[in-house]
Amino acid sequence: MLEIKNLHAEVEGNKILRGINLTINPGEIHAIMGPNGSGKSTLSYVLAGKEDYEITEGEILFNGENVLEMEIDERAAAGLFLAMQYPIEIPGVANMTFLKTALNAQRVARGEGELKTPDFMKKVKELSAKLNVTQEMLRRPLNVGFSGGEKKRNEILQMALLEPKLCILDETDSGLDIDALRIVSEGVNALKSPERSMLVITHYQRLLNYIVPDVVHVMYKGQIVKTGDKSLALELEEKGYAEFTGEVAA
Amino acid sequence: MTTPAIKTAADKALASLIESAKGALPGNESFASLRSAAASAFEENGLPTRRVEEWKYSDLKKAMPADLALAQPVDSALAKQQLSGADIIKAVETCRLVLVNGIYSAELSDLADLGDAISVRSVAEALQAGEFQLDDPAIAQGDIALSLNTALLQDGVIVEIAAGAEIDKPLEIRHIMIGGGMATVRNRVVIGKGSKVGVIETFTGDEAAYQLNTAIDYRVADDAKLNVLRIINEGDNGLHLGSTTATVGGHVHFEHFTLSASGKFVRSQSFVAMLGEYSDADLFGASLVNGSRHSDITLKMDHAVPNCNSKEQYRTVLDDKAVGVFQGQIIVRQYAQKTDAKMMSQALLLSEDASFNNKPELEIYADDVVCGHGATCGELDEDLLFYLRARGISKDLAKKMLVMAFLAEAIENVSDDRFVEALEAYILDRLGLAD
Amino acid sequence: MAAVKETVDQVKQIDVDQYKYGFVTDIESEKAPLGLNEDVIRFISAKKHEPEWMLEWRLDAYRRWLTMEEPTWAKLDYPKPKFNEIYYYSAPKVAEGPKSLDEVDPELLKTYAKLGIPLQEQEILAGVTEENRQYSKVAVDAVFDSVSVATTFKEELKKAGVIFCSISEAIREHPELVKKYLASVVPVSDNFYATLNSAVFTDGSFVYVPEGVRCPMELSTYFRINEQNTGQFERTLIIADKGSYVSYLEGCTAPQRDENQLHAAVVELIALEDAEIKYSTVQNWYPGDSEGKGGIYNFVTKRGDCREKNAKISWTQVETGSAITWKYPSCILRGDNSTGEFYSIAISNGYQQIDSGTKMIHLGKNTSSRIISKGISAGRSNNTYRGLVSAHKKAANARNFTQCDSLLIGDQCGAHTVPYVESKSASAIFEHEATTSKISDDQMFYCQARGIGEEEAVALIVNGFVKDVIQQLPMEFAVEAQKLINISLEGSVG
Repeated sequence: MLEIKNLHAEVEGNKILRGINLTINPGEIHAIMGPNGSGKSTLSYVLAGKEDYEITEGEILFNGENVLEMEIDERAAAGLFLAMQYPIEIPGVANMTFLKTALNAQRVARGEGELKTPDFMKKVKELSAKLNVTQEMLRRPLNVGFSGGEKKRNEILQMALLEPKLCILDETDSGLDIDALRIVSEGVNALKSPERSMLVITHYQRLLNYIVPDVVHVMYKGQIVKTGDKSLALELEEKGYAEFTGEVAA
Repeated sequence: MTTPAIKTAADKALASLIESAKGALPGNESFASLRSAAASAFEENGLPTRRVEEWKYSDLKKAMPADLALAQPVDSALAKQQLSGADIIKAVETCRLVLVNGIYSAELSDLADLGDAISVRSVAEALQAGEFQLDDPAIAQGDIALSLNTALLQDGVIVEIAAGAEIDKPLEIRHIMIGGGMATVRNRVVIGKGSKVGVIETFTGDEAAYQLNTAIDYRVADDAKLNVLRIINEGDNGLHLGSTTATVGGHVHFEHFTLSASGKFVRSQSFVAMLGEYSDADLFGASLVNGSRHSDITLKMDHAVPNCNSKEQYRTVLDDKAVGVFQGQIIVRQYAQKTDAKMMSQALLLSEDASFNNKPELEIYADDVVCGHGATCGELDEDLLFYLRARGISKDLAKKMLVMAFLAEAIENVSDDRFVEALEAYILDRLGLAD
Repeated sequence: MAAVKETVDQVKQIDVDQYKYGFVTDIESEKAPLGLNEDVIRFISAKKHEPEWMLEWRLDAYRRWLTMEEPTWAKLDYPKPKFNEIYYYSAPKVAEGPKSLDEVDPELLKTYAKLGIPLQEQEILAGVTEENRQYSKVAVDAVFDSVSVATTFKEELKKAGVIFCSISEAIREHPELVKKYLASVVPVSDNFYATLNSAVFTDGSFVYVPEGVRCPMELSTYFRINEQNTGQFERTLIIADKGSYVSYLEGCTAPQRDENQLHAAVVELIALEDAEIKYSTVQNWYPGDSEGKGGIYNFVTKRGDCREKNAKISWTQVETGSAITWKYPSCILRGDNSTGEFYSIAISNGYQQIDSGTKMIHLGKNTSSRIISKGISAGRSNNTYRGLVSAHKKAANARNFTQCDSLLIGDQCGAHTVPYVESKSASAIFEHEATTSKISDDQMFYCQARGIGEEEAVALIVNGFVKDVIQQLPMEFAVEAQKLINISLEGSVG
């Protein structure tokens, strides 16, 4: 599904990613853990195509296609979804309008044709009920005035609606209390399927109690320094990052 | 007839039009003397140079053509044909007054649902009878566009709304320009005490080069509620010089939204005088300017009495080689204590060749006031664009959505839902986002 | 709170319309014939021992000036100065140019002592010990009517390579620098008053900081108008060569006189690559009496040019004096990544009229500017902020932030804000905010409920209002400025 080979990226001359290698097969759930500043979020932005980063070396293949040559929206239509750490507020664009525009844009790009409004409404209603996204949240401008938990639930709603092939969850657990974390995780778990892969980026092990990974990677200074199974996350929790980075925690 | 101020071809063309049109324009003797005073004022000053502060950013000498003629009367069959194409607010059902090339046409108007509370009369007729007085609020006096309007005034409508009337269907005053030439209109809307009414002014025209000098005077009595929607949808070669004057009584709610959407050169200016206490005036607007168009929104808000509030909020989107202008002035006179006035003008530049001139001004003579203004200008937010594109929306569509969102924030101030609907429909259509 | 206490004490000592610096120095002076013509200009040039090119330059400016008209766009209302009833040159009668401070007329030294301006290097040095350092060293150029009477610390500055002298001396001693830079920021025919200044300027300061030098002390010029019916036309030229830094202070006062006096200055700043100039002004010309009689007409053209990349020019002004102020210290941000700043406090009381602000002209890429303006109007005064921020087509990523706040004290005064924001660059981001209000009743109540008297409460709140700007001033000036602000507002309450 996803193949990252020797990926190097920098922003304004600062090297952030220094040779990332990562392969994710269909149906697998991978977790990337690492201290702040290790380049986790950069990796997610580079995958989604944010323009602030310069790729100096390496390649990214998504189902055999060269991702680096694709536009941001082409990547999304191809099935790459990034649930963002800080979902952005867009005043003036109603959440519902946004969802419909995004879904239909992707469908049209894939040659599937637009979804009729009643069908779309039905789908949104079903999914939003499961994720505890209220009608009012759908009517309001996108993410404007949403609490941290509401924003994250809204991200998962988009994910459920757009049915991507690869879901990248960037620090989805940050700022969530236990109840919100449960709702979000249930939403994510409901999307698990043999065809869909997930890349969960997180600072803490907590989220991985809910979304159980097949593979865990530790990232440090722009490289993956260790890979293991889910027990690696527990080990990290116990010993801290210093064990893996060779540095003493402050 | 050539004075030192009549220098450019445009000055000369206008001076000779004023001279030659003299005999053909309506009005009794006393109005004729007003006209000739306005004509001499023009001869003395000519069209404003850019050294005239109010016209610093809009060069009328350049915008006005070198040859000018009055727009010709239009055959009513042809006018009817154009009428349906000029319906730009399909979403709202209205009573309709139609002016073609500056002349009121009762035949083309749709007054079926007018009722007893509204009376309509032609300005030309009132002028002949000596029953139309011009008395602009102090703040509008000396304005060149209004002065030219007086010199060349042809017709318009006088609408009176009876005291206490609550008019359900908005009243549309539709201006259509056909076949080119210059037309000069002045309308007056008298809002009776305690009445409630919505007015929509629309402006459309064909592809011919034309110049419309249009003015409207709102006289809002105490306790009234007036909502105005003004959509400037002029033809690609149309020049629009539009003036709104309003005198606002006490305990009034006055709301005014201007959408400047098309026309080669648009100057839309408002002069609002708050003359009664405890009133609110909200002046809102949105401008969509592209190609090599020029759009100028100028307003003066005069707080002459205490305890009034005003809000002025405008948003401008500029693309291609367009030029945008916002000049807003809030004046708070010495006795207008407890005034709360806030002005905001924001612009979005979509192209490297577009430019925007922003001049929000405060002139304050009373101390117990809360006044402020803000101005911003910048390009589309890259982060917003990224978010939309990361959800699969193309760059072009994402940009349009953000433009719509930017304008939607201006529109959401409008309290009449029908107006909101009309504005949204118009802009979505314009941006190619309509379903 | 100490500063506030001091303020209040000071305010108490002073009568309503007493201007602290209103005394006249009795000194014999030599003047040019009354009025203005080519002979007067020849007289000034001869007095200054100027080379021929300078005289020609002046005469050219004069001829252009004759064709110009006074600007009327400012929100100012005043009778036009009668340009032929002014003395364009007046100098204390002394033996030709004092060689050292010892030769300066004791009356003059007394005057400056009374104004609190130290001209005696020894005194300054004596007052400073390493343990008890109260004042840092400041080099002073003192301009009395039309001539520079003394410049201190010249030798010490010379060691660092810094040239600090009167402009008259610079024209004689450093003609190559003067020729290269004079009028390169403010062209001769820039505006009516700048052109007049070009024709008749008498003195002012000249500073050249060579490449890589950080000027070892603050430089300052102290302007004093003494003589009756005399105009002061000073010209200041400051050049900061590549990688250098200089901080320059300017102060001004004049005697209390019934007639209006004209002050028309031109100040040009040039910052080359990586250089920084910080220019601070405390303007306290005589503002006129409580009836609006007398006072200085202050028409000043100040402009800085960030000529090369990474240059920075920062203007800070505290404007409390003058009957009429017409002044817009500006920055031309020509070099890529250059920065312009304007921090202003403008206080008007009595019948004063101020029309002041700045222009930030963004020409280069990644240029940024910041404007903080605090206007306080009291009495029957009018106080206008007028500012232009513009981005030209090539000014990619230009940034400006402007904050203009006005405070009204009493209902007989006016506060006006006239910003012009012009952008021809899509990637420019300009933000402008302005507010106008009075000191809130809630704030006053809160202070008074804590036992603070009315006048003190106003002082406290006003000090808070202007704090952002005061912080930009060099230490010694900040204290002075704070006192001055409170004195200027004396009598505005109640």
